Amino acid sequence: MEYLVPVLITIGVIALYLATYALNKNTPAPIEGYEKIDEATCSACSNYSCGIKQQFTEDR
Amino acid sequence: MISPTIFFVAIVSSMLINNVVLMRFLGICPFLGVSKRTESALGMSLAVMFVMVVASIITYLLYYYVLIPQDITYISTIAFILIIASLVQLVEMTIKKVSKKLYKGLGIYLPLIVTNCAILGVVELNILENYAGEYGVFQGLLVATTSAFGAALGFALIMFSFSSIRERLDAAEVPEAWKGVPVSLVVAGIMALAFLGLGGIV
Repeated sequence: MEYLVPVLITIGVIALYLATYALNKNTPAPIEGYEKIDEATCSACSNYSCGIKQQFTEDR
Repeated sequence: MISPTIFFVAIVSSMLINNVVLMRFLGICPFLGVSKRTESALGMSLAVMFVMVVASIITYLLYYYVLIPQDITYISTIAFILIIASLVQLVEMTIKKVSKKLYKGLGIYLPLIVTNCAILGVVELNILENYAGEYGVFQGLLVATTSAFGAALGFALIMFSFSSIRERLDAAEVPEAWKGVPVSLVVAGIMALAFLGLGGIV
């Protein structure tokens, strides 16, 4: 019983993250919001979940 | 009532003396990765500033009003990480809807903030500094928020100055083996030494 509250809070924050992630994914980005990025800057970044980086990788 | 000096000291201390990047060595990834151009560095700094301040407020309240009363402070790190990640998603979503111009400036750098350990570091430091014990929970929140704002200003200052230096380094005559990251790391070391000289001001 003593573990119930921390487990519930942990599940709650995970659910909060999943909900915000889903909401963000379903929100369309303004087309003019995309900026042309040079490849050097993109390759220096380590965020592999970034859509722009994935696009660069596919293009190669 | 807290003296205004406390807020001033909190800002100066976290911005210059205990700078997150050069003194605490947090946020090194964006420091090296997003500092090639001044524009990128400023965009990243603005996004970090917003998330750092808001995350500090939310996590502080969560810690003192939920985790401590329930005596479950051991899950604080997990909770803080997920709250920062959720906050970044919310901020990105709001910016997408509200301001196309701001999204153009910050949108690309917002997802990178989730992996920025400086945010989690500042949030944890606000708890470790025990502002609530010293000033009370509410006034401690004000000091913690001011301290987080100062840390974000310090991050922005370093990002801006380092990106300006790197732009100049591109045009400088540097030995072939030192070009790129090696010379940047040397510059970062010299900057850290310079900031070390500010120790003892407050």
